[in-house]
Amino acid sequence: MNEGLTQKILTSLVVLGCFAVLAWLNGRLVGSGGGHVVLYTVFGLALVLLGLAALAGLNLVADPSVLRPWGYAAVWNTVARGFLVVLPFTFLALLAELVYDWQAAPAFIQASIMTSGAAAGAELMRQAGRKTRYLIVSMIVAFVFTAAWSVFSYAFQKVAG
Amino acid sequence: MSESMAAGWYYLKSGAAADQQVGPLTWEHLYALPSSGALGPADLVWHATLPQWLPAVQVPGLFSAGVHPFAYQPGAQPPAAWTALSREGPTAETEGGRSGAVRSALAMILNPGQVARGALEGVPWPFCLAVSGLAFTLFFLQTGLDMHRVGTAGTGAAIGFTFLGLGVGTIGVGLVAALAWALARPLGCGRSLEWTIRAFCLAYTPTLIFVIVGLIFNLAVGWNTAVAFGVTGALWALYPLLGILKEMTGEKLAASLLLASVCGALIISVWAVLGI
Repeated sequence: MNEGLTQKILTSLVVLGCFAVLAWLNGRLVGSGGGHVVLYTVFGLALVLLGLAALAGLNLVADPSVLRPWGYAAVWNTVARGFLVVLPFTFLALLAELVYDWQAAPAFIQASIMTSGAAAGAELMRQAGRKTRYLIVSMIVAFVFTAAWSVFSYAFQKVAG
Repeated sequence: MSESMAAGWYYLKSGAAADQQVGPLTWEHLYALPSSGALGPADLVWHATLPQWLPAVQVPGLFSAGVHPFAYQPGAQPPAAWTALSREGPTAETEGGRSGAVRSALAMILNPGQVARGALEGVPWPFCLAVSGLAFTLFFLQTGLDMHRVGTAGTGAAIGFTFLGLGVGTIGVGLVAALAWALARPLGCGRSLEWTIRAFCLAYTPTLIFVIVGLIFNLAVGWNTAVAFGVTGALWALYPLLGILKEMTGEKLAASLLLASVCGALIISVWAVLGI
């Protein structure tokens, strides 16, 4: 396996790992037991995968002349690279929850998704030319993604809480 | 040619994948590439002042004689060809002072890397200091108001928190910037300490917007907003900070992420220790 491919897989894994930690932190607040926390984390990760896929796919649709020659995998990798901004958020969320006991994981998740969307759009702008449409599409998807996470948390709490 | 145009150039060989781009390079380095055959007319070139990736042949001075941007003397007017290509044109300072600075501050929220590579040079330092100073003043004011509302702090303490916020937003952010600058130096950071402090202060533009909205809700509706708006606003600043740190470390992503985490943790911890 070449170094570039390893790095790309690692990038996606780091992003998913960070969101798993954030989901686990939030799951402790909305769930009422260990099983619920695991279930919440799994559903949260599925939501993240869906969000990343939608972000890459919709940007591809928004600018097919430039991004289609790249292929879906390359667009996904660029988006995932932008999403690496979630790493400091995860570090701070761990600090806030485990050291300061703030119980503010939802705020960390919402802020991390919105900023990750902006970062993904900026990364696409950097690599594919400075078209504002990447930023707009990415921010819209991130907003929907944030709203979906909030609705999911609310529903999960109602059902499992 | 402005100082910002002397560096920060990228090129991409024609037909290469997007992640094969090379840079950042100085103009001198880029300028030497056509003669060595490393850069062809159809290869793409990008800089923060360009509207998009352009074929190298369309970048004034690379393949055409007599319009060498690097040779511009301070104060001289750039050729019309360059002005037409440049989307952002002059820096924020020369463009019209305050409005240019405000535009740069707002651009910092969504595309901080672009601001760090170009327009930041023209944003006056008092403006940057005012952004972070005001952001933390209002953040700590809301902390005081929240504590006053639940009866854990008196009026005097709430006023004290507000002044504490001013100190954190100016001296505190400056010290964190100085620490980041010192840590980034061994990683090849060529930016000055003054540039770093200005950039860090301006990175708190999203925080300022959040705390202004939070203060409105705090005063008008009586909500406790320090965590919901203040902490969230401080978190939003992580993204601009990351963009600045990437610029400082020459796009070293892992180091930038680590430094952004440390800087964010310091600021959040200061609030946690002082405000709770």
